Amino acid sequence: MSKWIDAIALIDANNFYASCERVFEPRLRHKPVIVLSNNDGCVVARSNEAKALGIGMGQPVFQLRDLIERHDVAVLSSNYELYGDLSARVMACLHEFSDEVEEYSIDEAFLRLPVAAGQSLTAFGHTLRRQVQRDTGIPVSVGFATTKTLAKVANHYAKRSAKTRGVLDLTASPHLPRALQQLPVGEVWGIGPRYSELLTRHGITDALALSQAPDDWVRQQLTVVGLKTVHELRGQPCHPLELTAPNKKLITCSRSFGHATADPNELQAALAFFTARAAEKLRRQQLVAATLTVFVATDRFKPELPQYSNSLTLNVAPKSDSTPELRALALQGLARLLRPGYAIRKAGVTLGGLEQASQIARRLWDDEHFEAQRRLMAAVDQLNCKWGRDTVQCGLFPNEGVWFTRFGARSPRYTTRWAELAETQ
Amino acid sequence: MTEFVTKPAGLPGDVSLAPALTNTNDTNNDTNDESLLQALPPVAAGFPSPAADYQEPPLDLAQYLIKRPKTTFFMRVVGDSMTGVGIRAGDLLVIDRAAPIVDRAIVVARLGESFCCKQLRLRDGGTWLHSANPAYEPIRLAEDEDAEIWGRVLHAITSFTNKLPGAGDGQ
Repeated sequence: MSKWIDAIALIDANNFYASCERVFEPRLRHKPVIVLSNNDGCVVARSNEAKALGIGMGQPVFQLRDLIERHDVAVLSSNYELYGDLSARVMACLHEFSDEVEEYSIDEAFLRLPVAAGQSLTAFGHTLRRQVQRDTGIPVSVGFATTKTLAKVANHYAKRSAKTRGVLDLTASPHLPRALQQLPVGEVWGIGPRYSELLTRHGITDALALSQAPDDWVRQQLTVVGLKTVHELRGQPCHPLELTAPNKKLITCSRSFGHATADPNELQAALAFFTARAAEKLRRQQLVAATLTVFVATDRFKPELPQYSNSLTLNVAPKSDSTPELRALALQGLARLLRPGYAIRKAGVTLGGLEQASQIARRLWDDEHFEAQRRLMAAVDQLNCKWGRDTVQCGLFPNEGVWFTRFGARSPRYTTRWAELAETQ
Repeated sequence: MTEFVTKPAGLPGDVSLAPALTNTNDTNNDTNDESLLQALPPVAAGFPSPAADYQEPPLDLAQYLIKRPKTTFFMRVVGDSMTGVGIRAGDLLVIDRAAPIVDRAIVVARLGESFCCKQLRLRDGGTWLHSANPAYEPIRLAEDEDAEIWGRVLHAITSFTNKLPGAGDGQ
């Protein structure tokens, strides 16, 4: 009888924003394309041709004036209505391939697929790519492996190697050790610049070496989270999929506790954790929340104990995707819900009233830098809003005529505005 | 799983405190965790309608036109190359990218750097884009032609009162 394993697929769109722009504007297909941040200050997306010109992610656009002129680079303001709509369509397509889908960010998703051990997933991956392309016009890359972290590795190579044509199956591949050996340690999911530097100083420069590092040392240097990453590199799944319901209008994070507790400190810590997780999911999907609901419940399987379950919904005004702001609200809500003497067994946070975060700067770096960057960009946006568009800019921004007027052009909202449809002859 | 009842909050800063479903201060074993508080419908005054038992939802045009919302897109027609089949300048096209592309299907194609609405013909060993207007010659697509089928046109909607915003004069 054949053994079945759970394969994890990581599907992500190639140069998502630039690809979205190309669906409805064929003239962009082979050109270098860059998409700018909310205040047209920095580059938030690049087509492959733009990457080949050396344009970096997050680069302030004023530095690129010559390059743009010389190479006729198409420069677009971000069109979040379009990106959000096409993202939903890509995700809907992926939900047809598996019941277990985690929509990880605006252009990435994990799928879990049972597969007979030893069976190749490459053909399936190509089918999936073709269908997403057909249904939405968006090109994606597909990586398969036995863990999320390894699926990210597979996807990394799928996207970059001409040989793979966009699909790579590393679930049972003899090439896995070499693939890990050729991957710089900083490219491993969960290893940010700080850890990458630390590991390099200790002589660990590639993913294979990291996977072979001793557990105790890893736990000490990278915490238990880093240890999970290392175990995942070894093929042991530690990160379960956080499934997204196909028709999600809410983001929830909740848990049943190992032991019930009435201790307010423990409950506050739990709620803070749930809120942070939910807020991460929110930001990864470029959404903001207008409501936050806190709920607590005692163990209903112990009816002999005092029973209490309750929830409280608060308005998030202004709408937010900020962990500190949402956490403060969640703790307020918890304080009002708690009744002494009830041992809470399950608690959680639900974010609702979700909307596209079109007014909030895009996430450019990892979570560590995100909050600071977001605050900065939000402050810049607010000042510009109040005093005029270019009051505050990233660095110096030349105001001379011709070049300046080529910016500030957002493409039409082809899929969400009747007045902005594409035309056909 | 216990259901939680919440009332939606209203004004900024407003807060809604939901009634607990099993908010007992004692160890009453009769408490039913599974009960769900529901708002009861208001009692109607006056005569009941004889049609009440037969009520169906009204006809939904979107449901008629769009079978697969996630692969359906809209475009606006400019030009007159398909007037022979009733597609006019200014029309709204309902296009499904996932619909089967077959001989004689009306499609939107990308030809080079622009979109065109044509009838697809697979004939004489080749792929053709036919117009429905004698002023336009059929286009035979070369093997290496820079062209692709963008999607299948399901419907063309002509409106005599609703001009699509953005449509120019004379269209």
